[in-house]
Amino acid sequence: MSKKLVFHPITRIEGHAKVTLVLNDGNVENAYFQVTEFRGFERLLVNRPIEEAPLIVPRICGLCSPSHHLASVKALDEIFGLTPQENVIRLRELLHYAGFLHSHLLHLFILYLPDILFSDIKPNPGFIGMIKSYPSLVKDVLEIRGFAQQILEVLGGSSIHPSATMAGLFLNPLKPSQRTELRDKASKSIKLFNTIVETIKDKLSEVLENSISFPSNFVSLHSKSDYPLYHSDEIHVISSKGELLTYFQHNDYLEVIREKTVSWSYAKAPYLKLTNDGYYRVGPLARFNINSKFHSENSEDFAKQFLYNVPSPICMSEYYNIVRIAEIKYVLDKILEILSSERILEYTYLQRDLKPMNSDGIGVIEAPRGLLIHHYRVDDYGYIKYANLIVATVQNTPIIEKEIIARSQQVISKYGVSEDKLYNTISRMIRNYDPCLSCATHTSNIPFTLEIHIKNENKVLFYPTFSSTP
Amino acid sequence: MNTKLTLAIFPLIGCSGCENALLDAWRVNDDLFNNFEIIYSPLLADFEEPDHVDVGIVTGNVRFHEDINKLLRWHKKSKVLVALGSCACYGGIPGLLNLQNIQSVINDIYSPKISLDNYDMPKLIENVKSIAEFVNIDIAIPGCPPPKNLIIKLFEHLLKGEPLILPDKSVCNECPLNTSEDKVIRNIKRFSLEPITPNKCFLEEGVLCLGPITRTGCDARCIKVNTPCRGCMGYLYNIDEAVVKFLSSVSSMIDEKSRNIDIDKIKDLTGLLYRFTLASSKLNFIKRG
Ligand code: SF4
Ligand code: SF4
Ligand code: SF4
Repeated sequence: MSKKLVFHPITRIEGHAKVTLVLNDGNVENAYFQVTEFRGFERLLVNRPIEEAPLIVPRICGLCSPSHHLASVKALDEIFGLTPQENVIRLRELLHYAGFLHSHLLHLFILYLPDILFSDIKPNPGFIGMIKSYPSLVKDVLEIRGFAQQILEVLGGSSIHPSATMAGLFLNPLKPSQRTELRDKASKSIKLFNTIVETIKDKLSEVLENSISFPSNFVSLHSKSDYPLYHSDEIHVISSKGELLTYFQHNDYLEVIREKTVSWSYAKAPYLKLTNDGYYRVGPLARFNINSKFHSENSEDFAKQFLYNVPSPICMSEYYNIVRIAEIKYVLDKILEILSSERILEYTYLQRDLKPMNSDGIGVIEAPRGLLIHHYRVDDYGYIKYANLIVATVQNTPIIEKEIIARSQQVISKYGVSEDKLYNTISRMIRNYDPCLSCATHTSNIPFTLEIHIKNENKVLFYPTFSSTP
Repeated sequence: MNTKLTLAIFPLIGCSGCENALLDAWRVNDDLFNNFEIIYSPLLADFEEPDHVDVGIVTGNVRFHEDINKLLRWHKKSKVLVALGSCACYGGIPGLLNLQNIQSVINDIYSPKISLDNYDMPKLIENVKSIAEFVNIDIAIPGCPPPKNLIIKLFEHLLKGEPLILPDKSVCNECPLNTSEDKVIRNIKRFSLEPITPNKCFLEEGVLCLGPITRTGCDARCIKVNTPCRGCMGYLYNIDEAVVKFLSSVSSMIDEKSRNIDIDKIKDLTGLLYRFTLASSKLNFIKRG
């Protein structure tokens, strides 16, 4: 006999979701990870002037707004045929890394850590329990978050929904006194974070001992020379065994990643065209598995202890959190590096008359939760005709569903149909991915034939022409 | 004895930016916040929805039928109901979707059709709405996200009863950019696509800036990083009235001798003037698509 179990809501994640398990004689027949919200940014962008997009899209997500802002601006660079100055890029990176810091710290210490620290307490008191039982840890974490917040405010006016940069430009260059103040805080934050990690290290190791492998393909930006969060436009796809299945330039994304609708969720289900099942993971785990090196001292040290000793690619979702810690160390190192050089101050505010040079612009970036693609098409006046956003979380939803099935089956074979145990295991597993559901519900349909034209001949932008079926 | 005021954070459809702003404010002022006990927030803890709460804070806008019931329920449970952020206060940016027919948006996006009933999914209402359409709000704190200092003021008010009055000045009042005596617009320019004189008022440079009609409280934070105001704090007047005021004052600023006014540059006035407030307009917009 078939029976439905509904877990609603899933807490301590961004946004609204529920899980429906379909059981048949103690077997998990199916699982649905249902996103129960809808926001529709791809549609509301249509007919707006393209230069307003970077001001509108941060509102997609209040946890990773700098990533949306920057992916959007990268797309604008392409539309206007611009290659930004070196220092514009450095300032954008600074903003991006501060955004990572703000978001990763929230997930790890406010949403996720209570799973470990309060695993026996019901209901889990989450952040409120942290304030009561670990006040100094909370204080330290919020202190570093405050540092991230300050960078975002100084550069972009606001820690949430910053408006810092536009096509080819950085709007608000850093002042000398701001640089030195932030640089000193960066060194302090690095030290403070290292001590925080020391205090939770043993707890983390315990959790890792019980982690379960769940193989999948992985997708992320790739770079040989650095850990690519902003820079690269080259995307790699690897299998659970580590083979490179394919790689492609960002403007070929539709050749590799497609989306389909499912009838049980407001989020769509992206898939890889080239594989049989199409499932893949994005986010910290994918970035580490694909790039396997951090290029920064602090994170390398940490990785030696926690990551390099695990067979690669790592297919255990718990390791998302470990890579997140390594990434926090990485971005802190990078922030210090950028702020240590006075060259960041050598900035000329170069204003130009801009006309759309290309009908399409595609901005790709690694957001805290994974690969983020903003694709806009504009008319001759630069008004948006079409927008396609492939957001990190939405790419993880199909694999999350698969992992729910596997984990629930394990729980049931061990403990029978215990709703409590199921809810705990499922919600905790989902939290590893740090899903962000307000991000996930913006999808629009890709036109049947999408021809990307290039007008700007003196730029090395390569746009293929291809047709597609949705 | 526990004399803390209880607090519930009730999320409708938003981006969690308001909650994040609350955490940012918390950091700067934990002495103040320690007088409150959060007893409900799905983002921050697994607690069950309480039966009663001293302060209910609603974030996000109304997008689904079930949101209306939630809101009515929360209103009943809360001694004081606060609308936090522009989505709750005015509908916010997602209100721009009200310019389109939601059914055709859904049909277009989700094919095969989403089987809402089979999977017990919430159903969309035709238009995004602010929460004020359904319940009486005791306190409204606008902003996208709401500014930290206003959040702190809110909690001081809740705790000590200190008066909470939103500034009745415009963003122009806090704007550091230089304005001239004559206030003439000679050219309409698109932000960031055409050169402008640095440190000069955007509006006088011909870049539309909603500073004159927008309520400050945000410390003119966008202008300070060289971005024109888009009105996220809401307007000093009734929304539609503010828009008319803005348009009439801008048109009176336009230099009559100027031949440079290119109307194509301001094709999307609605999306600009109602960026955060369209859901609260009393006008009937013709829907496209
Ligand atoms: S008001 Fe702004 S910050 Fe708050 S939920 Fe809405 S979009 Fe997010
Ligand atoms: S119109 Fe804008 S730029 Fe001009 S004074 Fe007002 S806020 Fe400042
Ligand atoms: S300047 Fe305008 S858009 Fe910016 S925060 Fe203030 S009110 Fe909002």
